[in-house]
Amino acid sequence: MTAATLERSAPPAQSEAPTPNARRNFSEELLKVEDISLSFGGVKALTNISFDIRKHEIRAIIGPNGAGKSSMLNVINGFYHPQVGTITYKGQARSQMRPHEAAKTGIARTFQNIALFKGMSTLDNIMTGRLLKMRRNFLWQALYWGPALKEELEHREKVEAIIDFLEIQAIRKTPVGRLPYGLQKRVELGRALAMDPELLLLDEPMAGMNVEEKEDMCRFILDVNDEFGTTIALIEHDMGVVMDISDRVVVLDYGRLLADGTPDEVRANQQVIDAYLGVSHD
Amino acid sequence: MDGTAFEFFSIASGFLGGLFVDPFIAFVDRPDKLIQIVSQGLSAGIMYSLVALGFVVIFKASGVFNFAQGIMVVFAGLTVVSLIEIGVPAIFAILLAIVVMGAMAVAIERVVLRPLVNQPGIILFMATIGLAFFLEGFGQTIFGADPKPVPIDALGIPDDKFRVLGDFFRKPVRIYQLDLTALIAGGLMVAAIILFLNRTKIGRALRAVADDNQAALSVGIPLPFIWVVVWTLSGLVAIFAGVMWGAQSQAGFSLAVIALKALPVLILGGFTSVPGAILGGIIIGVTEKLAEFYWRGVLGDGVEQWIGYVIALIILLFRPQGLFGEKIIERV
Ligand SMILES: Nc1ncnc2c1ncn2[C@@H]1O[C@H](COP(=O)(O)OP(=O)(O)O)[C@@H](O)[C@H]1O
Ligand SMILES: [Mg+2]
Repeated sequence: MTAATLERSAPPAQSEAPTPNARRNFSEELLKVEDISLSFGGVKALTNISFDIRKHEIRAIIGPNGAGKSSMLNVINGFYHPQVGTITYKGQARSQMRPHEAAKTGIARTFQNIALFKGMSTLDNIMTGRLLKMRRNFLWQALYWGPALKEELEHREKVEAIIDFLEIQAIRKTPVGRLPYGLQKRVELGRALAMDPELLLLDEPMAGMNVEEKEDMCRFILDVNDEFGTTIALIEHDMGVVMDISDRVVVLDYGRLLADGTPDEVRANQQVIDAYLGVSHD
Repeated sequence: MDGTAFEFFSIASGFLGGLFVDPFIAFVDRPDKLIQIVSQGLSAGIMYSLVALGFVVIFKASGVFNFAQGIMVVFAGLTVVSLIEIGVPAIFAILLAIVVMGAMAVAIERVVLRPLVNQPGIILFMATIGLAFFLEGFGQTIFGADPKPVPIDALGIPDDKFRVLGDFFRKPVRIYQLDLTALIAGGLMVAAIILFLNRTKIGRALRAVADDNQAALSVGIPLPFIWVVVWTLSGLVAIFAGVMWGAQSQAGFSLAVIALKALPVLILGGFTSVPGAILGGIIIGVTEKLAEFYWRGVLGDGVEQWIGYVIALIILLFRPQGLFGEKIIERV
């Protein structure tokens, strides 16, 4: 499967959206990984992985446990540094990303094992997503309280909007450590959204959720993509969900890239059926 | 047989009486003494609090138990004192010491912490032991091994005593200005640190790092910068503690034991709790002074030295996480 086969030929599809997978024309590349190889000691987590993520699309990464999906996201936001390969983000190529740089340039993420600030309230957790956006430093705060306070209030407003959007007003002041799992996942999404991301990486955002919670999460993901145009890369095990919401799918298996294409193409791929779907649907 | 039993009984009752009855008689008899001792205990306690706070911020932000904290206090104190000795005005001496401690924080982050990132806590702890020995040797080369008197006048620290509440008690309470200064200035410093942690952007970032490293990184908090901030903060505390503690006697390398004093405070307050460090310091400081005065007769002269550890041990038995510490959770 080459990139050319995936180009959508009919751009003016804005008005009538026949299938969710043809909602828009994704031609502009936001991120590209090339020949990425990553190993831990003797364990090869990723071998020669190349694919791209285009602006405004929802890109799914699927594969069995241990396939290297989380490692891939960790490479993209700079938690892991691959031994080989290049990462091109917004036209700038580099051999590795750094977490601070990733965050600054608009990459936000959530984690497979929820990583929240457990002692802080929902509000404070989401507020940390604004840290990089706060221009006034602490000396300024100490010397001249007014503008710093005004800025704080502006960020507060933004955070309140996210809280409304995610429908978590009732738990604004609750320490997140006390929240049920599904709500914690939602708060984590909120914190990532607070960063105004261009690229949102979601590692199994629906794992461990009941049907209703999954539906809510799907709706939030689609809304974020729709309303803010945020590009999303997500790892998900529920094939129904993947086929429903994603524009293109990457399939990994044992650290190798098995397939790359639209949900329909991937579903029809014999290798994928053998290696993954066949196992998953037995 | 009867005789020894009686003897044992009388010794035991004398001991228990000395421990639990006599002090209260003394309280009632000389309340002025009690107030005076508590005020001394508070001023020593706030010093312990500050040193413990230096430990806590570093531990929270990087999981490092900083063995070098005590020698940092010495180093900082001697920097100020030596600069004043060679004729630098006190205010500049303090500002320069702040620069020195900041530079030290940057150097430690570069040379010690960054190469050891993601290593287990015990490795980092060993690294700080190495750091402690390095600072001691380096410090003795620069400052000389002999203790130096703290120029109290040049620093503008009042060193007198005054008497209050003369009308209430038989004898007025003697308050030392040095104690009072330590207490007030220390209290202000603690308040400033709490404000910094709770109200500023960096403080918020710091709490985030303390709570979850990975999540903090993902929202773009630069860890190396945070490490420099906490080590600098701990260096600022060291300057204050070095000067004020030194003012009580002299500034010299034996002051490093102040770190050992902070250990029971940390056990009492919990290694990760800021309020715990403050309250723990005050509890240990006051208890030490009370024990020194009222229990020396029954428990011996050294009671001030070890009573803090006994309290810490008792707390450890019932609450391993300390009075205020968070539940102990494995770092993963
Ligand atoms: N930090 C790490 N240290 C050592 N091995 C790792 C680390 N992270 C991932 N791996 C290994 O890399 C492989 C891929 O893991 P991962 O990316 O988590 O897979 P997935 O998310 O697809 O389940 C596994 O064999 C895993 O054990
Ligand atoms: Mg995973």
